Order: sequence, then structure tokens, then C-alpha cells
Amino acid sequence: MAEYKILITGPMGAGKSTAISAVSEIGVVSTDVKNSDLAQSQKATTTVAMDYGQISLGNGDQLRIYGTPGQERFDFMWSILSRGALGLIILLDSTRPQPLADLNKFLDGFAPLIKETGAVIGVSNKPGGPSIDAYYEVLAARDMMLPLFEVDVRKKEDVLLMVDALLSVLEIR
Amino acid sequence: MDANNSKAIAAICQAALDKLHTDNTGILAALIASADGFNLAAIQSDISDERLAAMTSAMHALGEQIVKEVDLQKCHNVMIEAAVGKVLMLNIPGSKDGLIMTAVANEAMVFGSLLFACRQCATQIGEKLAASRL
Repeated sequence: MAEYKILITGPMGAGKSTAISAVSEIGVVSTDVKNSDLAQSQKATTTVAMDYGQISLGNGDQLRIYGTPGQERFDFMWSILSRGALGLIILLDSTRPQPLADLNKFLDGFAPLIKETGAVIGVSNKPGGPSIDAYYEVLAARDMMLPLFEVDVRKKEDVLLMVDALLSVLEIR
Repeated sequence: MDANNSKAIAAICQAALDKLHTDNTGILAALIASADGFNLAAIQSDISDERLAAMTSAMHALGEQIVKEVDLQKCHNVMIEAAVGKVLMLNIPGSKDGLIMTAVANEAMVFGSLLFACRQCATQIGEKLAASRL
């Protein structure tokens, strides 16, 4: 039985904890505490260390999914959680003030992991935010080709779609 | 926590940390962090308060999860013994917002003294916050 580790990241409020809860077959290990930074996000709680969930892949293999905190002051957790990860899912929320800048921030923050492994991007796209093309333009400007999906992270099938895409990307590499 | 409350909490924490520092020469740095990793008050030192506050929150949250996993009810403190010193992270009892204190001590200060001094400081902060209904 093999065990694989992937990471989910993205800005505060993008739905990282929700995505892991949507697919995990075990009770999610979460480190949510009361959020005092209401300027960043109106959420009642925020993840300060990590989320952890598991999915069985059908052939006996296990996929371990770790979620990172979204705020940059927790970037020390980004490098800790990146160790041994096979790939990265970046979640974005189009209703945040600057979702394209968010994408650049996480591409920069996880550049070593993305370079060594692979990444896919999931955008929770609501009216009023940038077009999907705008996210592709950010990637093109960096000479990057990454799978990008519009997702609702509350839906198990949407999260599994990103996981499948990531595993496919990793198989090709 | 609103801005006025936040200032009042910071003032109580700062006074207690200053006393802790004066009374214990082995303590090199100390701060009080919010549960979500913001620095509220700190002893002046060369250490980055912002980063240490975020680390305090992450470490304490992991401590809570480990305690929950092994069914030991509640995490009171997390201790780290290093090559040339110690770090102690402990919750402020009774604080409504789940404040956490971190203290860094040199190798000359024994763990018992560090724990005693920090517990006393944390208890005093908790009592003052409760008295001020913060």
C-alpha cells in the first residue's frame, strides 16, 4: 500500500478547509481558531497550522491531503507542509479584492514545490470577478501551463476533479 | 476584539511581560499572541515578534489537536528544549480570546523556574483581563 501526500493552498477564505472536509474519508484534523482579522475575511474561524484529511484511491493506496494556512504570516508552515508533497492545488476566490494577485502570491510562495512536482488551480468564480482568461493570462505571463478549473469546493466531485487532474499531471511528469 | 478592547488587553499584557522580564534575567524574549497569531505585546528583543506570534499560534493549535487525539482534554502548554535554551508556550487561563504566551529562556534558566514564572505571569494576566471584563 502506497501513501501519497498532496497540499491544498490559497488565500484566507478560499475554501481549503471546506474542500478537505468535502472529500476526506476520515474526520478532518483541523487547527481552526477564532479569526480576529475581519478586514482580511469575515470568516468566524481560520486555520493556523494545517488541515489534514485522507482519501483511499481504490487500489489500496492512500492519498493524504494537507491544507495550509492562507495568510503570509504563516508561510513557515508552507515550507514545512511542502516537504514530501507530490503536488499542489491552489484555490482562489474571485470575490476577494485581488484574486489575480493572490494567484501570483501563491505561485511565488510555492515556486520550489511547483517546479519539482506539479500544480492545478481551482477558482471559485462568481459574477463580478476576473474572467477565467485573466487567470490564464497570469500563468502565460509566467510561462506556465497549469490545469485550471472553475469549482465549488463544497462539492465532493469538484474537489475530486482537481485531485484527479493533479494526479494525472504528476503521472505525465 | 474591538480596537479599544485590543488596546486595553495589550496594556495589561505588556505590564505583565515587563515585570516577568525584570524578575527573570534568564528570559530573553516573551510575547502574547492572539489565537490566530497576531502579536499583542512583547518584551523588546532581536527576535521577530510577528513571526514568533504566528508560530506560537500554529504550535499551540497543533498541541491542542494532539491532546484531543490522545484524549487528554486540554493543552496547557508546549515546551521546546533546544541546544542553548528553551521555549515555553502556554495559554492565558480564562482569556476570552484564547490568548497564548511564549517565552524564550537561556540555557541557564531551568525549566521549572521558567514554567513557574510564566504560569504566574499568565495567571495574573488572566485575572486582570477577567477583572476588566476583557
